[in-house]
Amino acid sequence: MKLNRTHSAADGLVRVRSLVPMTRRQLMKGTGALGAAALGMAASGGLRPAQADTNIKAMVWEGYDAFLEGGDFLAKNGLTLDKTYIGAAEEIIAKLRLNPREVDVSTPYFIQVDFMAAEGLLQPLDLEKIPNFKNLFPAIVDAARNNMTYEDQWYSVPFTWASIPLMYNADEVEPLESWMDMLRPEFKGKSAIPADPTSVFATWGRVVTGNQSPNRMTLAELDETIKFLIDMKKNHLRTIAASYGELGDLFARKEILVGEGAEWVAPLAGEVRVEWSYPKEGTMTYIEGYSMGVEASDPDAVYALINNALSVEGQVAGAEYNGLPITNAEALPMLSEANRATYPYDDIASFFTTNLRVEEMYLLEADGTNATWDDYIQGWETVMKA
Amino acid sequence: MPRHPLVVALFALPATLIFLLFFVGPFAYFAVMSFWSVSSYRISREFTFVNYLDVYREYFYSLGFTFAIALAIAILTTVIAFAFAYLIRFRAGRWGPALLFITLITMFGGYLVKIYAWRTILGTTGILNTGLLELGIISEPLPWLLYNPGAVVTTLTHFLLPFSVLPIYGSLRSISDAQLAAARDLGARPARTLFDIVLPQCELGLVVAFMLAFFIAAGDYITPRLVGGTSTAMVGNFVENQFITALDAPQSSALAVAILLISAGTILGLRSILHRALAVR
Repeated sequence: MKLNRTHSAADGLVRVRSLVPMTRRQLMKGTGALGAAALGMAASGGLRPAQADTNIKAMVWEGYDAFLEGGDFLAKNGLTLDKTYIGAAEEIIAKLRLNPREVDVSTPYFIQVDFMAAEGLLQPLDLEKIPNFKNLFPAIVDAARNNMTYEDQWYSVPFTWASIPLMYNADEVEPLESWMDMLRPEFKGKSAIPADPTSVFATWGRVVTGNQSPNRMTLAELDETIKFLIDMKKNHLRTIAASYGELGDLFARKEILVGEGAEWVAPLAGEVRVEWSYPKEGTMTYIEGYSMGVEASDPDAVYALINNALSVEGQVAGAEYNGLPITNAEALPMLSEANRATYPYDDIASFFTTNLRVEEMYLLEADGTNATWDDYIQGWETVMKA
Repeated sequence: MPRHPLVVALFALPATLIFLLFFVGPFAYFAVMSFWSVSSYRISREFTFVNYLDVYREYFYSLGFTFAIALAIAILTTVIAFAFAYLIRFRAGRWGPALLFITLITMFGGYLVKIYAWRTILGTTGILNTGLLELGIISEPLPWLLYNPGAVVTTLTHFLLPFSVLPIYGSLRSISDAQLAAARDLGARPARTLFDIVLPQCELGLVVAFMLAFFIAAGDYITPRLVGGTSTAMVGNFVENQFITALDAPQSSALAVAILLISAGTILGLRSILHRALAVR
């Protein structure tokens, strides 16, 4: 069939075709030439807009991108964020192992940072290129140092933090002092813990065994904690919340009166007034930081982004969006009343040393005495199965 | 007119490629990975059976519990779906299409929405408890309505019903009214007509409906987590835990392969039983 046959004006499509007389053989040859040209262009970097933005690949918890994007920094600097939201911090380790070029900036779990640095998954950070680092609360820098540095180099910089306190329905419960208060008879079937083995073992391991480094419990201590958790699960808890957000919902629906949660859970409870206490046994804290992947495509752009996350604009944007605290002291006057009332900015130094406990990385290889990360995971599954 | 085998093969090629690429390929990858291991978040590609030993040692009861729940859900769903499809096909008359349309509409409701809806119905301050309290039937909310295996069965049965109604209804459509009328005229009682005329002819629809409900229920991990409470962990929860928290893809792959094989075995076994039971006597 030839394509150059003539048709009436009404037959628009074929008429347009007939403007370039062409046989099938010619068409095939032309298509082949176009394909070759396309392949050539792809090999040489492909088609790009004349002034393309620099694309930074971010692998972060949902919401944490608000710190990076704070203000109009991205637009001003010709940057775009290609975001991958994680469901577990371990996904960052897996991605950096499998395809390090796909992670420019990420938010690893802070206790894993020194391990990841030792494994060569992260770049050491040049703090000269993150000038806002010097404005961070010294107490937070001190608390983060052990986990976020490796061989005296920072591999992550803290942009927010929170803790896992004892939450309660303040309309019906008086302030609580101890984690063991959660086990009072009146809270039977009215309490919950999150499905987060890290915080559950850190919190209850300390309570049950007295070990102040619950991520480094002995196997016997871990066993004792597992037995305690099974008993609590079977005889006391209403449910194990799927997430921290779910805990807020449990409070809102009055399914529970007390629970192991996080400060930012309280507003999620809607009309129910949820408050929290930092029990005498200690409260686990976590400090979130940004890190640069070992094969980040544009380190200078990543430095600029991280610096923006620590700037006043980035801090306020991220803190207000997530209901989380700031780490840059200079952002304090710009925060909402609600945020300032939620977190103890006035005395943050003593708060970190008195109420909070900073954990360390689990053992990954067995040493014969202490439990490894695998043992903790196995232990959590034992609790779930019981 | 018979087609040339090459033409037939050419037509089948796209579907075959999609099947290989999106179904066989990933499954084969997981099957291979299930014989590897993990240490310090690093995969070792040395061949090992240890993951399958762990499936037996660590997850045997969880698998049993999961398949018991999935079986209950699949049976319940198929029975209700059959009754509803039968109603649409033979009893609802001109309302049949409307009922079918409503069934289809509920599929747009979304999975999570249905879970949250049931939490709103069954919760301590939910519709059911509030209603019973208002009517003076109970003096305190019934906590056992939610956060137990029963809530999982209820929620998943409701979610899976439309998926099961459609294949059964499709099978029932192929049964002619004349056959039923003939059976009636020959004096067959309704039960005899059902077992000798209707069920044998919609066997395939029943099997598909059952399979859909069983497979989805056996692999689910969201519903038990959101309405199952403290003691309804299904094997999907452990697959998730091993994949995401432990980063142990080989162990979770072994679990996934085990779920698939056991599910397939269960389906084949039940299909054989059903086929024999429905064989024309």
